[in-house]
Amino acid sequence: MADRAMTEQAFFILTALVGEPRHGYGIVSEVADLSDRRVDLRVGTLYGVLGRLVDDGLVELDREEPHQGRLRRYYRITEQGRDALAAEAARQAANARTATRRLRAHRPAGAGGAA
Amino acid sequence: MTSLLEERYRRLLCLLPASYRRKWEEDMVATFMEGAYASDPGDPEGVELGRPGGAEIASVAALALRLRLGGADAAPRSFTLGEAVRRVALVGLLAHAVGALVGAALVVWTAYRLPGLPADAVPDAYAGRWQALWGLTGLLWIPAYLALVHGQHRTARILGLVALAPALIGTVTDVYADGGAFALSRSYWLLFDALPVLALAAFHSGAPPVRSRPWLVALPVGAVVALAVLLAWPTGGREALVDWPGLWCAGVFVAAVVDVVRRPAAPHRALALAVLAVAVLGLRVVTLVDQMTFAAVTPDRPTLVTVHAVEAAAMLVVAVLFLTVSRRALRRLAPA
Repeated sequence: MADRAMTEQAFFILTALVGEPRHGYGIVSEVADLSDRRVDLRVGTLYGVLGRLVDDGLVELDREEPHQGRLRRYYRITEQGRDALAAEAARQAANARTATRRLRAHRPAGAGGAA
Repeated sequence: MTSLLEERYRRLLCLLPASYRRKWEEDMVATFMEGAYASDPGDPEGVELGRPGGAEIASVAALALRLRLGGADAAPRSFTLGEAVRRVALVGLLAHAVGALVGAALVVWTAYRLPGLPADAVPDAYAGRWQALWGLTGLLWIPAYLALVHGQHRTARILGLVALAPALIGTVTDVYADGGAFALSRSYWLLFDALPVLALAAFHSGAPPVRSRPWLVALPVGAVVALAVLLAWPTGGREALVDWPGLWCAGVFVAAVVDVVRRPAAPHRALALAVLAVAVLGLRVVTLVDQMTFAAVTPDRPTLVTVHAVEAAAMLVVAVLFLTVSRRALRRLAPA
């Protein structure tokens, strides 16, 4: 993962797993809530990203539980996953700060800010 | 009891490699079914009779594509298959771009009445102004190719589809206008043109970047060589011996010889060559069959048939040889 930019889906999946392990549909629901319904994960997309996160050691299986005749798998974020998410959040925050500074510095004259 | 919706979803998951299904299928089905029930909690029976939606099908298809035609972090066999298909896309778009440059050069040559152009070198399609403009729509292949080489995969896909549209319209109108004559070779040409555009699917987010320099150099070099061959051939016999399928046969044959000499052998190169040889073999055979069926009998027909048959035989040899080599190499690699 270190060599690749983190996708928005991976970012939200890792964020959804911070705090408590979740099963597949739990991740889908949590990502929808966290993104104000903007990121609507399809199952194929979820497992494509989840598989890569597991392969990269950022997410791991927590436990399996029976639920209505099926086996639910719960996933949790690893320490490495927390570090990667923190680094990505810091990067995005730094980008946002840069853009905000720039926007303030170049506010149009009519908007009342310094040119 | 398994619901109809679950059965349909499991059938959809058959697109995924077996090893991947063993690991993830039950989890995917559980997540999918939970989401389906949650979308309509008041009507579980109705949900069970439904079908996976278009977006869901697209997501599984995209995952299957990424797993089977793997990127840099995929298992060796999947990566090799992906690299082979990516090479087919690159070579195909390169050939389209070369053809577009040569076509444009012939139009300019004709428009300015430059000397040295054999009388039959300009295709009929470029005879009039509008036909020439129509022929120049092929130039769209050039930005499609350049976008691909520079890693703009989405742009390359869109431009490739746009560039394919005139070929599709031209094929349909030609077949309709000629009452079915040459319909086989025209339809095959369309499929042949579409092959690299379809192969662009292997350029997904996990695909490694293309080494742009050799591919950028190949475009002008290929155009100069193709133009030189087309113009240098003596008028009269030219059409019989040098046509685009013939140039394709020559190109694949030379690439095959270079690959045999070159070491170490690469399975993805062998597989790409096998795919191209099979496609070009088909092209050579259908154009020959249509030529024999619909073209007027001329004194050089025996020469034409002999040359085209030799080209087809060469492609058959290349296809069999490289299919065997790549099959053996793929067996030795770890599956996806």
